[in-house]
Amino acid sequence: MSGPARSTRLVLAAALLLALAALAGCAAVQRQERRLWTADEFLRGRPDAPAAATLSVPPRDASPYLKAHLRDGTCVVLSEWTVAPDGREVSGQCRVFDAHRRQTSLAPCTVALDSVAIFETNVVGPSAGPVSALAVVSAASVVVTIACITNPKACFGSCPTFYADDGARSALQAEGFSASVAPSLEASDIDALWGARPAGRRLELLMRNEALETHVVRHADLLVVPRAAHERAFVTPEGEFFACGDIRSAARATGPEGDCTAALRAFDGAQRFSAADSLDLAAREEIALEFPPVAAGERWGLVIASRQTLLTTWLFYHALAALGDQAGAALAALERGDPAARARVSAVGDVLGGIELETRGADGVWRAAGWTRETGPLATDVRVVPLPDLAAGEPVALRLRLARGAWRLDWLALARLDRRCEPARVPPSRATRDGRPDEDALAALRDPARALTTWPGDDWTLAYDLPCAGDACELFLESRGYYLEWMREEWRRDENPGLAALLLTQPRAALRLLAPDYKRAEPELETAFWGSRYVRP
Amino acid sequence: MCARDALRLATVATLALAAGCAGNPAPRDFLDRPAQSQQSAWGGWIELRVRDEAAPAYVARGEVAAPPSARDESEFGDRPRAARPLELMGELAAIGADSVYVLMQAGCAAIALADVERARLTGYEAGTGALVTWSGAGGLSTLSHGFILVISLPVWILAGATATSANEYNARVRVPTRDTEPARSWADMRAYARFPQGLPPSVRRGELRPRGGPPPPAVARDPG
Repeated sequence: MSGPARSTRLVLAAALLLALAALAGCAAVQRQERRLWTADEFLRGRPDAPAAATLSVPPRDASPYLKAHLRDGTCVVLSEWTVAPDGREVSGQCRVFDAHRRQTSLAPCTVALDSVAIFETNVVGPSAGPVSALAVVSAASVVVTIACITNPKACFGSCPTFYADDGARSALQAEGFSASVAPSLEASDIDALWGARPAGRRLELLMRNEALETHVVRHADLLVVPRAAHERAFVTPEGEFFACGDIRSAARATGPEGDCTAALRAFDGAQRFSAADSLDLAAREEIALEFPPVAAGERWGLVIASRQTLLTTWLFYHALAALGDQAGAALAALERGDPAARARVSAVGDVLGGIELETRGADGVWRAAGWTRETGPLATDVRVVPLPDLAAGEPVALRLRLARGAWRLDWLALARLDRRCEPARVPPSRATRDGRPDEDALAALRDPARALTTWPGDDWTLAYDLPCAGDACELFLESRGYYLEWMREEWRRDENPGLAALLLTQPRAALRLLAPDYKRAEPELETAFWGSRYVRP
Repeated sequence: MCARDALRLATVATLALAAGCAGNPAPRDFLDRPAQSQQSAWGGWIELRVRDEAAPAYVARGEVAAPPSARDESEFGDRPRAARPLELMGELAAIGADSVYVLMQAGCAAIALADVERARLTGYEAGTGALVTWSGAGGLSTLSHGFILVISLPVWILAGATATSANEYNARVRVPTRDTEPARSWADMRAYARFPQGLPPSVRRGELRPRGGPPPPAVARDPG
């Protein structure tokens, strides 16, 4: 049995176990209301009493057994009990116990009320409160389970994830090479470790495989850029590093929904995002930005802290499901170096595009100024897109164009590119797993000819010796490798060659065709996403 | 949190939930389920603690045995017998106007209501085990929630603990009641006595025996 199939069956087994436990709980958990009645109270409150009584004895269908405690300590348990019309006697099938609770008789009998010290009724029913509470939690839990089966990446993460201490806790800092879904797409990925807080000159990163994927990690090196205390350093989409001493938040940011300045003012986890278009997943939206004037002769760039929504993940899974049993053949064509196959694989992503940046010239015309497209829906990455020369003394007007519902923007800022920097490469000096040194893993990560292969659930702690103290350098992670998504049994059932062909050859049409399906799933995806720990930057 | 951590956490939490909520204090099979207890005539399971100042008198006249720890210390002469808390547990035989009768292996002890510091009665087997199993299965099912387990597992633990606690409470009567509980009294316990009408005059309490099975010790543990 393959790993994914086993996983799915385990989840189904868990759901079945929960359902059985719930059924057993509903059936077994009961409460009892026991009441005592003097003979006089019983006479006045008996179910067939002619006058309405203040206290009414439960009828036989509610209390099928009536206990008559006699004055000598004998207890008569009556079933199928009836009260004589004059109310002086009770008859039924009697089980008689003496004071020592030895059964002395089992036969029909009649008990005179004047021999009874006290009557006892018992009404048994479901323990509604506790059962209802657990039923509600069970229903919610099943919904989450279904959502996680539908979209495992929202719950189980994706790609190698890297965690570091942010001063308060171990927080997600980066996800490595998210776009490298096959060996032939192996690539390097640079992520800013913006929130990492090293302990002195030592940084520890926790690298995890949290997805149903096989990760092949060629290396996971730090790129360290020394900086002054007042500076921060950024990497461009082209891999250039700049130290920036002047960073300005937008004076005004306006999207289709109106003013969104507050959400984009700081890298604080408050993100601006929108819903996808219901007719075309590639439909664009624009965000207008305005910054204070800059001085002449300065070079500036736009800092963009962003991550993708789950739209691309959903499309990727849909494509694999549509390929079904042909997914292997498609990946094999990719591995053979077929340029057409390579172009087709990236076609949908190319149509969705990245975050395009435009500047307004003195003539009032908007012109393309750059773009960025960091793949991955989990960790927010920070990059700077260099801008062409800006007109001095005037407010800086910029515009972002991006696919609706495809991006979460956390922070937009104008940064002065003071100097270009060459980072120092720092490979891990120690790798530990379950608290024990793992020399083989370390060697695999340090040797360019080797790679570390990881499986779901694996994690390593990688330690790095920094050339400078944590507050005197900017840290970036360069990870290189690829990953293999595990096919799921349920995907094979959704094989759809027509849709697969459409996605690979006519991506624009496919994005229109799939828009209604995605819109139905979108709210659930987002709920699951925001319920996860990844909500924090 | 990796899969192994999550599995460990879910397992530990489930076991803790099961251990913490398996609260039926009676010996195994002593109490009936609600459906069965309609047809049986036994009393419920009562635990009570006698006031410290009253305990020696009960020991002195042989109503109950001295707590073991008190007897040990008295051998050294540094404490009076039964100076330590005296706790009894057994089948509730009856509650009279001024006394509660507890059936233990050593006999039927009569304790004045005024001398009881606190008492707790469990009237029937509330079926909490099923809720614990349900909650445990729910807790384990959160393994399918990925990172959302960080939220859903505590929700299950909280809901499970609350539900099992509430269910146990349904089957219990305490005297005196806790601040958070509605006022209950000895009269509420009477319904779960073997003789809810009070100890019949014709019954010799010395001959009464508690419900079968290995009965509990006549003198209970030292709670300290």
